[in-house]
Amino acid sequence: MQLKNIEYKQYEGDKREWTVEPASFGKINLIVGKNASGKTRILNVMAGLARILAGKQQVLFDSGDFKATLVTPKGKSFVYEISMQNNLVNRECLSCGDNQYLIREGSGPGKIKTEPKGEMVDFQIKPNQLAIFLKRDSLQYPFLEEIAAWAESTEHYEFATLFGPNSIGSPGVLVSMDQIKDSEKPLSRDFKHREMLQLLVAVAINKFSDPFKKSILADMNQVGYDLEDMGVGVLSDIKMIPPPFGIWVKERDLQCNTEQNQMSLGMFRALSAVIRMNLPEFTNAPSAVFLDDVGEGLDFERSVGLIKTLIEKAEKGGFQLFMTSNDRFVMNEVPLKYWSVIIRMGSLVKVKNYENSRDEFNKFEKLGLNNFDYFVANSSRT
Amino acid sequence: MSAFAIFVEGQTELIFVERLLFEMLGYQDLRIERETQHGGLYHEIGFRGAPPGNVCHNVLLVNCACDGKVLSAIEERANKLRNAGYDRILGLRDIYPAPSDELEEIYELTANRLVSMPLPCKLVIAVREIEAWFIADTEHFLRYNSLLPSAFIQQKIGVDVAQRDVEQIPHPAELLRKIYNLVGGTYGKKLKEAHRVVNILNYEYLYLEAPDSVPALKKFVDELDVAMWKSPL
Repeated sequence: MQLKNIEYKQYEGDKREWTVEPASFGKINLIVGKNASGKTRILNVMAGLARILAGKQQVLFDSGDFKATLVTPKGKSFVYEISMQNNLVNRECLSCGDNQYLIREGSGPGKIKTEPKGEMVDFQIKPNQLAIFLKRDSLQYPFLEEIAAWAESTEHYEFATLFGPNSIGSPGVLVSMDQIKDSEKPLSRDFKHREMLQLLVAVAINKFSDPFKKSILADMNQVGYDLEDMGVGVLSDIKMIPPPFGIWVKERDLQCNTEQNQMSLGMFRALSAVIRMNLPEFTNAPSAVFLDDVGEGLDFERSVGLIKTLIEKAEKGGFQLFMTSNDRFVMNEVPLKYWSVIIRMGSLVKVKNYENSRDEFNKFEKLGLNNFDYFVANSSRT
Repeated sequence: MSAFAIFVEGQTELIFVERLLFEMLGYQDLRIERETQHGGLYHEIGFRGAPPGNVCHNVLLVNCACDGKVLSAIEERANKLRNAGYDRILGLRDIYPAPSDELEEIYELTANRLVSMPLPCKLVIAVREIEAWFIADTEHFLRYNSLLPSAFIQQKIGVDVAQRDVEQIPHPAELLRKIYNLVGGTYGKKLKEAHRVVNILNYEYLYLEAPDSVPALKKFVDELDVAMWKSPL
């Protein structure tokens, strides 16, 4: 399943109002825009939608009207609309073409279509709960399962922050041998310590052995880091009891291992991204990956190498990739057909991309300019 | 005295244009400073020709190295080049793999952008690829290998290089590779392969005769003439 369209409104009629006009997306997407244009925010909107659909967010939003189109591999388009205020549901609706699958308004009872009879039956749930999540039943409402599966399988990372050593390498975060041996749990998306990269790597190496390592090393090589080995072990120069675990790599031109707390920020971020993008090939693939500020902190060659690798992984892994960036190297490397330019006019955000401005993009490409020049010419209409 | 800059797409174009200029002007009157773009930065890669001083023609030859597009590079550098005393900029790109029927539109779009530059700028499109110009010098195949007369090429791969409109060849670099392959040679992006071809071209023919049948080459040599002599010869 793929997120095809999104439309979003928050705090309508309030000073805090913020609106994203209807925007369409493809399989691979690079969201570009100036600082404070709303790149991260739009990524958060999409990832936030996935979170509430998957039931990962216990409290609903203070305000937010979503309209999202999700397309199944067979081309069936589900339109899901949800309006929230004061952490309560105002309206919730799921349809496909002319067929209504779910509808509820205010705190009153809702109706949901049962399978296989196709009857609309009444239901009543609390207004602070989502029917699309609460009514999951693979026999009676199989259409909800498809959407839930999409939502549960999304992953959201911030390249510049979550991929920093502090988020995963802090000495207080320890990995026990039991966790490593219990290989299924840390690899599942619900596992609460999934953000601990060293645990993921330890488990993946334990379970998938050399093929996993070789794949990481090959990708890091493509990104521009000449590594000959990697693994997880005790971080030797952090003296703690019990000793902390961390990732290490062996660079070909160094005689000793480089442990994660000794790695440059750029190398660590690249390694983190490569590891996370490799896991789908060995475990269950995500439906979509949201990656904020990709390439931040990397030099030209590593940025270019990383982007190539990420796009290859998304194409091979079959997942939808959403990246944000205002990095010149990244922009020049990603073909314009994957671009979505964020244009913010006050509290209104428009998305310009191949879906709605194909002629303009084609005309620009004919000029033979760097992609970055398109950004310069089109991102300043705030 | 002239001072102009030429921006090209890759190393093959760089060594071809450099050789063409020296064949046209000789080594006494010309100084070429060379740069290559990498990661958005321009790096000096040495100079060729006369030492600095009383030379008639100073040329800055910039290899945009594929990831830096020629038009972007011209727009980015135009102000500084004007301030540094350059009086003209010439760009050379191709449109491969885009279709040739978009050529006029691309020229028009490009001209509309270049008109706002602070010094005269022109961009020439070598249609599909610059290798089409190499193929136009059909005699060079014999200089490459005496076993490569046009008739032999036609017999082996069904292409009459002597009669063919080279601007219509869909992928000139690939055709060049196929022809050299007939005698065990090859052609790709390697520097030594580009040098081997550039060193055996007949520049007198490419400057004086080939432009009559290769419009893009005519545009390019006319622009070189304008840059050097302020008018086409």
